[in-house]
This record gives sequence, structure tokens and C-alpha cells, in this order.
Amino acid sequence: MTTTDIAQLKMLAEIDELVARVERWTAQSVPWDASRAARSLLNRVLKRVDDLRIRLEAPLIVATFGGTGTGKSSLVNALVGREVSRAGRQRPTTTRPLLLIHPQCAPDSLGLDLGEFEVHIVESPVLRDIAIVDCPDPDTTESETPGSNLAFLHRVLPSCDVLIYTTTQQKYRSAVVGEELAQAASGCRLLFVQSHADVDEDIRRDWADQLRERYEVPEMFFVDSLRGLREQQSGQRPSGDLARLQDLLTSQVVSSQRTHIRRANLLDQLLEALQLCVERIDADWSEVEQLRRALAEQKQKVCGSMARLLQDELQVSSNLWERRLLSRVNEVWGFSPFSSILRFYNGLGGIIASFSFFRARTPVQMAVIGAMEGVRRLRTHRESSQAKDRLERVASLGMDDEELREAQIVIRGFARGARIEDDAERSRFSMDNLRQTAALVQESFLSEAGRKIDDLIDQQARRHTGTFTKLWYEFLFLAYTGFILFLIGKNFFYDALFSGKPLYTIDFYLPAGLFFLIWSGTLVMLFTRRVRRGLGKRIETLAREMAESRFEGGLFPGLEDLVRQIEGDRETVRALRDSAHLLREDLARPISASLGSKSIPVGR
Amino acid sequence: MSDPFHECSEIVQRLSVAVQALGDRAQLVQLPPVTANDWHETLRQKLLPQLGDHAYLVVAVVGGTNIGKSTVFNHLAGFSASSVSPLASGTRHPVCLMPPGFAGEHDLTKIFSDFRLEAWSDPRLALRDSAEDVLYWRESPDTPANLLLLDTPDIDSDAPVNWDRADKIRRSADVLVAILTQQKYNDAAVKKFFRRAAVDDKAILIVFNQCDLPDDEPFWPLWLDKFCGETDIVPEYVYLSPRDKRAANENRLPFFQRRRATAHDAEESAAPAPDAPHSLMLDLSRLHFADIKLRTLRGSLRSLCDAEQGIPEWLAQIRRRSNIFRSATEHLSAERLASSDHWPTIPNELLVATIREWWRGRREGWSRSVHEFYNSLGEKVTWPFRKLVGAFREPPEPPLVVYRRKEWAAILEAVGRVYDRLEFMAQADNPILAERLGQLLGGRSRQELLQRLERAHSEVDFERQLRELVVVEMDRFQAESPNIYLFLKRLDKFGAAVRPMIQVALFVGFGPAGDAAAQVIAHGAMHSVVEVAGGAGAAVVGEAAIGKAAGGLAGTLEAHFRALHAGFAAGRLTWLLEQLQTNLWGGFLEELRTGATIPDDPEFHAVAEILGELKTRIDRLEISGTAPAPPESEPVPEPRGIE
Repeated sequence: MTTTDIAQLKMLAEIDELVARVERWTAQSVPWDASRAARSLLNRVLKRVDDLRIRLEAPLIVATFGGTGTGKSSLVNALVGREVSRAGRQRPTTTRPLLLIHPQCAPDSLGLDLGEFEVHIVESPVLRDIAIVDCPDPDTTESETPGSNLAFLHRVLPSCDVLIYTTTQQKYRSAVVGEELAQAASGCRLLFVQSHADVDEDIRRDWADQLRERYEVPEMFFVDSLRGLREQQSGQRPSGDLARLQDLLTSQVVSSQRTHIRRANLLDQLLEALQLCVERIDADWSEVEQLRRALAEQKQKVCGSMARLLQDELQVSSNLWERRLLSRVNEVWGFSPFSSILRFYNGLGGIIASFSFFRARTPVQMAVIGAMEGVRRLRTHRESSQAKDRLERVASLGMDDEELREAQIVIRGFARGARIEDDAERSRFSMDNLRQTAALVQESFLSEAGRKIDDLIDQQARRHTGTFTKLWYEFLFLAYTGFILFLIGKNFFYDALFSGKPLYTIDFYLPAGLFFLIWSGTLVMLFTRRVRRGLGKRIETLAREMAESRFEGGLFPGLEDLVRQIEGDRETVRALRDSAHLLREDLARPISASLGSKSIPVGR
Repeated sequence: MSDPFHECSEIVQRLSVAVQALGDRAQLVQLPPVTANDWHETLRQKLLPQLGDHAYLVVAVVGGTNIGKSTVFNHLAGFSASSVSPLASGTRHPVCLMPPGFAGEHDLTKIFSDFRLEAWSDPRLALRDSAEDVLYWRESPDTPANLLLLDTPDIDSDAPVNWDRADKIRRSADVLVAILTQQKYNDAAVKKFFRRAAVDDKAILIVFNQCDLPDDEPFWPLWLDKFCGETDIVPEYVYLSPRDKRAANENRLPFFQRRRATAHDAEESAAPAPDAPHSLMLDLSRLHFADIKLRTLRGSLRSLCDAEQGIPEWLAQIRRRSNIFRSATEHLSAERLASSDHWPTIPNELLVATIREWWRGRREGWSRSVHEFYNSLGEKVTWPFRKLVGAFREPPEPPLVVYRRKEWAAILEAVGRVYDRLEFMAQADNPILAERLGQLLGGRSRQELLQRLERAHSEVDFERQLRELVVVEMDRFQAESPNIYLFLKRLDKFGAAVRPMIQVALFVGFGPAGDAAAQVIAHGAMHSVVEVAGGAGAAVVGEAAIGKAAGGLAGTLEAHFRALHAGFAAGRLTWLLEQLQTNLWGGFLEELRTGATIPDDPEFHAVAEILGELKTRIDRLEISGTAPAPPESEPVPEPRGIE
């Protein structure tokens, strides 16, 4: 195997890979108009690509194309060197298309419906590697009806590999033929021939200028078919451009080039279709972009209003904060005298709070009670409660029915503009569904908030329980306790035993106990105040963070998914188009040295 | 020039004005501008300028690109008037030759109203590419009197502006010199062009150009049959002209006349006609100018009245579209869009408070001061109690805030219904309204509507509206049932008299003092008000005094109370409709309504009427048109300056 062979194989593999990728892409389904349209277009092209792959090794099919009276049949006769196709002065001359093949060619391998043609087997060197189709004209029929020339051309031309586009001085700017060519030329190599060289003037330069906008035009031929035929019939080699044309057909459009040309055609078709898909999708994209922005805005709005309410509620529920903070401090502090007294007070508070526990009705207060506990309570709450209850909870975070309805009205408009239509459309915008989603959104918002509150409490607790603070409060607490114990000890061990003084009576213990309560209470209060220092600011920060957080899940999660899906779809089709473009640059350029083709402008 | 044409001229002028007026109105139903119709252009380009002043013949050389139109034109002109180019689509603008003095006698801008007229100075002018439609004209002594000769751009190249210019000239023309070649005589674009000419009954000369003579002799009849068969054209003359580049360049191309062999003269024309080249100009000048003119004018008039392509179809189109608009108006009628079923009722406590205020304004003299004293006393006495309640219980939301919120919910629901309805209409897939509906249904416009509505709603002063309504409604009550009013008033006065004797919290008529009493009234609606009032009255004046009036009294008061509720809701609905009108519909509903009634408009009737008039005239024209033509040999106008 030579290196060029390997390069060739590599190229083939790349094309196969590309086709496989396109097939995979079309197999997915995205409920968006533009995506659907793009897929159905690509599916059509893929079918043609399949046909092309089946007859990759069959002889190339060369078809004539051009207005009536532009000498298609004469040219065919001149090419094969004998009068096969009836050329004439009456329009249209060719009514039944002709298929010319070599005796060695198996007509079945061509992939054409042979019933549509008048098949002629001609022993001519030009036909060694190719089959020639002499087509009827596209410009005498005014509308495409079954059985008309146009219908035939639209059926057969897609299976042709090379088009010989013939024209004359009279016809080279015909609008009808030009339009038909644009359609016929996709996925074809092109040869440009001006006929009637015996009587007409050479207009090839002007013609090329007209064509260049849409086609790659490497070479043009100016042919006198009648003389060429005469010369061959009298045993001479034809003169002029006809000889060049024959050479081209026998040397360049040969069997070794077959796969090359076919692959190039295949790529052209694929690229053209992909480019159309990209344009189609881009045309509708801005609407989807708007929908995406609207969804993001909506989410932001919901998030913001929830965060605001969260902040308000957090600022108000101060006693709940204290309880949480103190119990956290206790956990951090470990066992020590002052922490025991803290725990005692906290426990006492807990008993009182257990009343207020029932007051922790709103979800935010529950979140303050603790993320775990709060969520658990929320969950049991949700399970046990009915839709009405849920609605109330939603309302507590600012998502009332009105807000949901506003969202419904607006987003529905955007979704409609973006032409996203799937089965879930109805249920997506039903108020019941929106309420449920809102409840879920709120729940996940709160559990997120609960986690943050936990963190905040933890930080706050740790920050205010440094070693120095600890020691200081322990010292203050122990100072009094120690002093009283010292007094009692001194009274018992020394004064009563040795000095005979009386033991302290209840008159001493009562005020001592009272002062103990006052002292420890003061300390606990001071400590609590200390721990709460800066809490307001932190709550504000927390609310802001919550508002700004890229909070997942809005009121329309299904729609958001779809938008993401469409975005991915758009990226994929662009990537496919770019790969096809690169491949075509690699593959199609070398052969277009002598053969023209349709230009495919690829905007990036 | 016959009389009926002058009459037609007057009718056509009226028709043109009427059509213009209706065309302007028809834009409401998004009909393409009236100028987009072929018949309208015929009306404008052919009938209007030529009906009144038809003493000349317009001859145009027409055909596909690059088949020698300009060559034939130069032959007709007798000199190189239009430049010939080997490249296709060369001639961009028409060139017109006219007899000397013609421009002075006729208004050229009227005849060729769609072109900018420019005096001819160079044959290459017509090749210049410009966006503007220009017509180059020149007086030429070789042109027969009363004959305008035109060279035209092509009808089949890739420059559609050329087709358009050729179409304009075709409509003005009376005679078309059709240039055909063996390559092009069967082209779709060519056939389409000449079929339209046949509909307008133009006189047509066919020239088969670039023939290979004598090889093509057997073919031209086949070409001719095919061409005439496909286009319904009956040519006046047929010519062949050989492919002879040099002769063409030197402007001495021969034209050989051929006659189509019919069964009648098969023997005669079996031998080819003697090949003496004809002068096309001479043949042209021999045409029966008047006959042809009448024929083409009649043809144009007929295509104007054509049931499938003329004005009748246009009218039918307007009617169809108008019907679509009508069904749309029905869908979007105000009753369907906003109904009071879902509207919240204004809280009774608010209503009662407002009525009390009104009543207070009606009290006079001593009863007023007594009531006022006791009311304020009552307020002061209950103050600590109310304070206490407020401290323990969260203060209830003010009723107005609650009402505002409820009303906003109702508005949103109504807006949602509007959009549902619009969406339903959009799904009907009606291309005429689709664009407007699409705009209305877009997310951006919905967002804006909600924002504006919200702003407007937050600015509404409910109290003022309620007060105004109560004043109107209660004044009406006072006027309508003066007896009841007087009775209540007397009751109230009596209440004032006995008030010092009863507790502060007790009330008379509409004068409840305590909070609790207000609650009772608020929740029990008017029924309880009346009952309490009646009860109190009975307690004070004795049952016998009031017994007769009580049933009637309660009923009347309740009815008035209901009317107040309904009146308020109706006012709010009107407000919403107004808001929707300014912020959502804009002119849309109005357009729909006007669009729906176009077939009833005087403009529509005018066009239909004038059209009917024209039709009867045309029928009469046909009778005069079939009158025997003057003998062929005798040219009607004297040809001038030929050979």
C-alpha cells in the first residue's frame, strides 16, 4: 500500500465518520421547530448519501443540462461520435430522456430507474468509464406537473455525478434555467459548454462572470457539435474544444477518479445541507435566546424576593437565633464549669422555647431551628398537608398565585415566540403544576439557606469562643463560685471547728444563692450578647449571597432543560458543518482543477 | 373615434378614483397594494391615458434576451436607434420613437407615467444599468403619423427589473412585434408573457429571427402552431428573417412575409411565396389603426372586468379577508374578554363606611351634632379596648389592601384569558392575522403589558372611585325613593333624640358607633343592616309605626346595595378594558372592526356599481366592435415618410 492509498483510506474513514455523526445527530429529537426542520432536511440528504454509497464503484453518470435548443442532444452525439440522440429544430426535441452506456457496463449497477430512459448501448471510447444521460430541457414547462420535464429532472438529476451545462448566446442568461441549475448542481461536478460555435459569438467571459457568484468555474468549452460529429463520422479526430472535452471525460472522469468524485459530491451535498441547517437554526435562535434570558430573569426575580423575605424573617426571629447559637457554643466549648451553666440556662430556655417551637411556624423560622430538623419537619409537613397548605407556605416566601400567574403569562409568550412545542406544553403552564414547582423551589431554597445558616452559626459560635474569651468567662464565673466556696470552707473548717464561731445559716446561703443566680445570669447574658455581635450584618450578607447564588431550578425546569438542549443542538450542528467544510477543503479542491461545482458559502 | 369610448373613458376615470379609495381602505385587511394587480396596472398604464385620447398606436418590439429585438427595432426605425450587443440582457431601458410633433401634441408623461422620460441622444443610453425606470424618446421623421415605436428590455433574463419594464410597455402597447427564435419560441417565460398579451387582445406581428434559410422553411409553421396553440395568439402577420450578422450590423436585414397555410388556401400557398423582403414599417402603417386601437382598448376593459383576474376577483378577495376580520372581532368582543364573574366584590365594610360618610353629610342641625358627639365619644371609650386587642393580635390587613390584591389576581386571570383566546386564534393558522397576533403574543409585549398594568393598578384610588359611585348611587336613591329616605332620616333624627338615653355602642340607621357593630354589618351585608336598622327603629318607634314599611324598605335598600356592588365592579371592568385598549390592543381591535365592515363601505359599493356600469358598456362595445371592418388594402391613417 502506498502512502497516497493510505491517505485516501484515511479520508474515506473521515467521511464515513462524519456521516455517522450526522446520522447520530438526526436520530435525536429536539422539540423545536427549527431543529425538526433541520433534521428532516438532513434525513433527506442522508438518504441520497446512502444511495451514493451503494453505487460508489458504478460508472459515473454524466448528464446534459441546459435550456431547450442549446444543443444538448447534438453535444451528446458529438461526444460519442455517432448520431444517437435526435437533434432538431423543433422545440422541445428530446421528450424521452436517453441513457447511453458501453456494452460492458451493467445498466442495473447505475442505480437509475431504467424504465424512464431510452437505453442505447454504444461502443464508444468516451463511454468506457461513464454513462451519459441526455436530459430534456427545464425551460419549456411552466409548472411542475407529474410527467413534465421538470418532474423528470428533479427525479433523475440527484443521481447524476457530473452535469454538462450547455448554453448558447441566446440562453446563457435565462432566469428559469439559472434557477433550475442552482437546484440541480448541488452535489454535482459541473462542466460548462457554450454550443453553436459555428454561428454564435463567444460569450464565455460574460457567462463566467454571471456564474462566478454561485459556482466555481475553472474552465469553459466553446463547442461546434455538428462539425465535431461530421469529423468523427469521416474518421477524423474532432477539432477544437470538443476534443478537449472528450479528453477530459476519458482521462479525468475515469474509474480511478470515481470514488473521489462521488465522495466530493457527497461532501458537497452534506455541507450544503448542513449550512442550510445552520442558517435555519440561526434564524430562529434569537427567539430562544430571548426565552433563555426571560427564564434567567424570572429565576433571578424569584430568588431575589425569596432572599429578601428570608432576611426580614431572620432579623425578626432573635430568640430562635440565641438558642441555636448557645447550643452550638456548648458543643464547641466542651465540658467546663461555665459551659455547664450555659447549658443549664439553655436547657431552661429550651423548655420555654418548646412553646415557641410551636410558634416557629414559618419555614424560615424552621430553617433557623436547624437545617436538618427544619427540613425533616418540612418534609413531614409536606407529606401530611394538602395543596392548600402548600400554597400558604409558598405565599410565605412571596411566591403567591399572582406572581406565578405573571410568570406563566410572560414565559408562555416567550416559549411561543421561540416555537418550542412538545407534549408537556399544556401541563407546563398549568397553575397547579406551577404551584407544585414553586413549593419545590422554595423547599430547596430553604434547605440551601438552612445549610448556610448552620455554617453561619458555627462560624459565629467559634469566633466568639476563643481561648481568651473562654478563660475570661470561666475566670469570672469561677471567681464568684470560688469566693463563696472559700467562705463556706473557711466557716466550716476553721471558724466553726477552731474559733467556735457558728456555722452559716440559711441567712447566708439564700443571698449567696441569689447572687450566684444573678452573677451567672449576668454572665450568660453578656456572653449571649457577645455571641450575637455582628449577627445582623452576617444575616444580610447571607441573604445577599442567597439572592446572587446560581440557584438551580426555576419555575420552569422543563423549559430550561429544553433551552439547554437546543443550545447544545445548535453547537453540534455548527461543529458538524465545520468538520464537513474542513473535509471538503481537503478533498474537493484537488479535483476541481478541471471540474466546476457549486460554491457553498460557509459563514462563521 | 366612437362615442362609447368617450363614455367608457368617463366611467374608467371614476372607476380609477373609486378603486384608489377602496385600495386605501383595503390595506386595513392587509391586502397587497392595489398596484400589485395586473388589471390595475392596465387601468393605469393603458386605459387612463389612452381612452380619452386614442388617436395613436403604440407598437412595441418584445421578446427574450439576445435574440435581436434591437436589430429589428433598428430596422423599423431606419437607423441605429438602439445599440446592439452580442451579450445578453443588453437593453435595460425602453427606447421610443415618435413622429415629429407628437411630443408637442400629447402629454408623454401621461402616456408613460411609470417612466422618467429622457430625450434620446445616444444608442448606448438604453444599455446603461440604473435602478430607475427611464424611457428614452426621440422624434424621428421616418415614423408614420400617430405611431409610437418602442424597443423594450427582455422578458426572460436573470434581471427581473427588465421583465417589469417590458410588462409596463406591454400594457400600454396596441401592437406587439414578437421576436421569436427556434431556441426560444417554446420557452415558459416567453409563453407566459404573450399569453397575457393575448388576454388583452393586442395585435401581434411575429418575427422568427435568426432562421437558417431555406433549411428552416418547413419548420416555421410547426413553431408557429406550437406558439399560437400555447398562447392563444392570432398573429396579424408572420415574418422570417435570416441569420445574417453582417446584414444585421449594417441594418439591412431582410424580412420575408409568410402566410400560414389554412385549409382554405392550401393550394395557393403550396409554393413558397415570392421572396421580396417586406418593410415592417410599411406593413405596420397599413394596419387599421382605429380598429386595432378599439380592439386593444376593449381587450383591456374586458380584462379589467374579468371574473377571475380582474376587479371582481379583487372585490371577492376583499370580502374574503373582511370575513376573516369579522370572525376575529367576534372572538375578541369585550364581553368575551372580561366578564364580571370572576371579579372580586368590594369589601362591605368599606362600602358601609363610605355610605355612612355620605349619610353623615346629609344630617342637619342638632341631630348632626348629637350623632357626631356620640360617635366620637364611642370611639374614645372603645379606644383602650381596641388598643388591647391590637397588642395581642396581629393587626388585620386593611380591607383596601386585601381588595387591591384580589383585584390584581382577577386582572391577571382576565389577561391570561385574553392571551388564551389570542393563542386559540393564532392556532387557526391565519396568515393574514398571524403577524399581528405573533406580535401581541410575544413574551416581550406580555412583559410590558404586565408592567404597565401593574403600575396603573397601583395608582388607582379606590376610595375616591367608591366615594364618587356612592354619591351618584345614593343621590339617585334619594331622588327615586324620597319616602324611604325621609323615613330613614326621621328615624335617624329620632335616634339622635333618644341617643343620650341608650348606650354608646347602640346605633341608629347608618350610625353604628362601635367596632363590633361595624363587623356585624360588614359580614352580614345589607340584609343585616336593614334588619338591625329595622329592629332598632322598631325598638324606638314601636312596631306598628314601621310594620307596614319594613318589607318594602328592606327590599329597596338591599337592591340599592347590590346596585352599588355591581356598579363598582362594572366601573373596574371598564377600567381594565381601557387599560387593555391602551396597553395591549392599540389600534388592533379598531382595525379589526373597520376591516370587518369594508364590504359595507360606500367605497366598496362605489367600485361594484361603477364596474357594473362598465360591464354593460363593454357589452354594447362588442356589438359595435363586430361591425364590418374597412377593406384591408386601405390604410386608415396616411403613412408618412416611407420610401
